Amino acid sequence: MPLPVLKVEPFKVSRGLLPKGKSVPDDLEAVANGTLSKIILQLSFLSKHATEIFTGLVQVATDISDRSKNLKGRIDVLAVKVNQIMESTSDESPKQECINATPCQDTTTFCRHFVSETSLQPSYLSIPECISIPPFQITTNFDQQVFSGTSMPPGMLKIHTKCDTLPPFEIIDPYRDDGKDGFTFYSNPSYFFDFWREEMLKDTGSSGRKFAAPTSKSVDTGDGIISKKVPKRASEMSSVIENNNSPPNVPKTSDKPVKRTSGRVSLPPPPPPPGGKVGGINSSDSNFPRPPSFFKDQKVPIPPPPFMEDIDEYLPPPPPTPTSGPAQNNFPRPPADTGKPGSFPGPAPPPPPPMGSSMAPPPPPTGSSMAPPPPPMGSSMAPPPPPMNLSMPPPPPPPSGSPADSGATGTKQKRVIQAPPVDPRSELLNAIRGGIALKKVDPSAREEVKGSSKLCDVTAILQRRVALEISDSDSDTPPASDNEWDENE
Amino acid sequence: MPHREDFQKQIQQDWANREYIEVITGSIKRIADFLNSFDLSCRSRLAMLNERLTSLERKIEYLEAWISKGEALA
Repeated sequence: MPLPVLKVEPFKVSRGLLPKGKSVPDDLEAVANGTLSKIILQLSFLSKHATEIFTGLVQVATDISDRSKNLKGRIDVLAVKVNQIMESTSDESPKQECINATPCQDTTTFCRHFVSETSLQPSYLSIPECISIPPFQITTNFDQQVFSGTSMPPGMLKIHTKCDTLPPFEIIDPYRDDGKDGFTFYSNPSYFFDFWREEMLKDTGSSGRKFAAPTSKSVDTGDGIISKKVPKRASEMSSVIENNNSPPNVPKTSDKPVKRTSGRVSLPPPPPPPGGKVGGINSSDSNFPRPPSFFKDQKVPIPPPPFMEDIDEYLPPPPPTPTSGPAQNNFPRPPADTGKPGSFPGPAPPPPPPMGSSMAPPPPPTGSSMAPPPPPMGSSMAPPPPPMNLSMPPPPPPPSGSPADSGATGTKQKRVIQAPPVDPRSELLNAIRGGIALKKVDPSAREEVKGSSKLCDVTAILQRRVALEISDSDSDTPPASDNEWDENE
Repeated sequence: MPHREDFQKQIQQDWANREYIEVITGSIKRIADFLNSFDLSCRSRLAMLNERLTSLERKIEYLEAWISKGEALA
């Protein structure tokens, strides 16, 4: 039903009664005069509505203009920073100077040169250095509360204010035995969110058993079936690894879990994570393979907003250094979108994925056993489990040993990647092994944050689910690959 | 007869008034239609502009994060 925003009244201009008791010399002229007076009334309404329309348009245009000016200032600042970094980079390595010596007008092009340049010289930082990098805080909240009274058009707001007031349910609230608010039985705007939250929590609670079933099936069946049973994300990631010999495109893969969950359970669209490009670091230009468990954990964090996918077209990936872990932590995270930027404490340990940080204090090496990973919000208090992943014993080498031979299945490819002949992160591993004192986790604080985020944060629920799926896919793949390994032998 | 002429005059005058009222109401209707279409068009264009601006802001946010990382590494 369309809701009229603006009404021009009166509707029926020519209908009217002649004044009773008064002798009108000319009835027809009296009717015409009444009609003209009502037309003038209509014109006044129309002019008022026109004023409202133009006021609204001017307001929106002013807002856009202000944002444009602000954006231009940010772009200028960004260009200056890029210039500085480019100069410092070119000073350090003149041979790898950008082809375009002159500053690019287009910031994107400029950053591409910058990234391609920096990707040529991967530098690995130690964990303390990674931790010392302050996390990036997003400054803008996009599209918050788009359907609220403040965003309502004035005409509609006027109609809204004319609505009947709510019945005084608060009077009978003290007499309720169940302690519920009486208004929820009259109107409960959060009903669907609560329903969805309960479904998601229930689903994530029993997801361990759910996901375990296909794993056992894939082990029992034949080779062709195994390849079908392998999670799509894992196979895709393995293919990307095989092609690029580098970690997969994180934003694309991290986008998958959300799509999968939305296909299985009817998920409401998560709030658009601003700068959810946390996973947006793509290392396709690198030549350094990475243990899948490492970057798999890293891709867990955040489903990037769909609109950011196109930015990959002209935003080249960062260098595949282990510093991409802290860098990802530096990027804004979805919870910041929920208006709780303070929930992100300062420096977070670099490699710890949100999933790992949510795990029980000694995390299992595979990360697949089932303490449900809490949202990344708790990354402040949880020590980094990823070192455990990194210190895992390498899987058995593939029989062929050449990545080209292993292109048959995704699991095979993955196994090949898991046993790189040279580990470029030996420095990082040494740093991890060499006495990084892990902080003790305060169970009470963790439970508190876990509970609060579980209750009210859409992003936390979604991330928890995604983390569960990813951890399950991690646990799915090894049995399938083992089975295939046995069959090949 | 003079009464009849008066009636005819009144009726003719009434017809003229009605035509005039018709013109005015038609003009009001056209103004309202124009206002609606103008509002719709402007809002759609502004919405597109806002969308592009939001996209740009997100990209700039991403680049700022990227640059901040670069600065931290430098």
